[in-house]
Amino acid sequence: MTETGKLVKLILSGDAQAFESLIEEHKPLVSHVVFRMIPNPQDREDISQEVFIKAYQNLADFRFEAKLSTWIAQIAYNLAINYSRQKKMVSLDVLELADDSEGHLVSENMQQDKTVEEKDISRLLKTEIDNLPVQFRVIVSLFHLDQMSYNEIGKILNLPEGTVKSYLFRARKLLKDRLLSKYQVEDIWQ
Amino acid sequence: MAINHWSDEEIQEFLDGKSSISESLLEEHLKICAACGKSFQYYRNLYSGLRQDPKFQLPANFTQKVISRIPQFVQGTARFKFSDIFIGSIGIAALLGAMIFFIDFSAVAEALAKFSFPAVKADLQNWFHNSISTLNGGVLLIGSSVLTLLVTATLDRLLSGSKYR
Repeated sequence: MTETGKLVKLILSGDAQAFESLIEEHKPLVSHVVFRMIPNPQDREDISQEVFIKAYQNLADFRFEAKLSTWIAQIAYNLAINYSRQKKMVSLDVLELADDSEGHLVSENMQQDKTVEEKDISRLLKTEIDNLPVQFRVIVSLFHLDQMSYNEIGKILNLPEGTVKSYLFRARKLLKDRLLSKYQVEDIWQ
Repeated sequence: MAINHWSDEEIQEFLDGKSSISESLLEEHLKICAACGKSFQYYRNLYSGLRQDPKFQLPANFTQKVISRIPQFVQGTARFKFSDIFIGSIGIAALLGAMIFFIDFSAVAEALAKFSFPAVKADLQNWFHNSISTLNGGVLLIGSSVLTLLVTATLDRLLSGSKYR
């Protein structure tokens, strides 16, 4: 039996410590998904808690067809999306939002009066990630922070692999262009 | 001679390690193409930024908060320990009761006293005699109490155990 199998079996037999270790192991992944999608700090924590409670409640149905991390990230994404829809916070119309965002670059080019230092770049990058369409944000995080494959990300977001790849490339191009055009980071990035 | 610049997609594929273009070919191109060199550098910096830990912090007691919201763990942890200790105590009490009831301790005391402690022989005999006498009056009461507690503990374990096992 695999380590994941043993862990799941222990949790299902009522071992609280085993469930604690599952939470500790997957907390960063869940925060990468939820924090990228939900702006309010209290909501972020509430939704993150719900993710693990839902994972516990449905653990008996986990069939080991995907990695446990993929399954938990899928729960996190679905809960955050449902929450955002209820609050009318998010549109999933990625194409429309992305094109619109690219269009904004022209007008924002007019405000190139900011002096940026190296230490500011990570803050600016965070701001620009938050301005991306929600699916772009999650894809970028899962790919770069959690080293997930296109296939795994596709399962989480319920998107074909090709779409994941396309969104990832577009997201990174948007980020690069925005940082260059809005904040003049060329000198630091040379 | 016209230079074919690398597209954003090609650069990203290369940095993702998913490009079929060799590193030597890339280096050759970068030597003669400043535009692609810049573009590569920008993307390298962007990738480095994207890999940085964003330091998303959940509260330190987050795990405990989740555990406390799952009744099976809260109830299970408390009752499991309680019933284990309870059954263990009852088992020891029942064992001691049975020993006192069935074993003739005065014979044991006599045997012990013969070997090395003749001086305390009388004291030991008296102590065991008194113990048995004290218990004799309440053996039925003690026995029925122990049995009642055992049955209660077993029921408790069976009923609460099924909720979290």
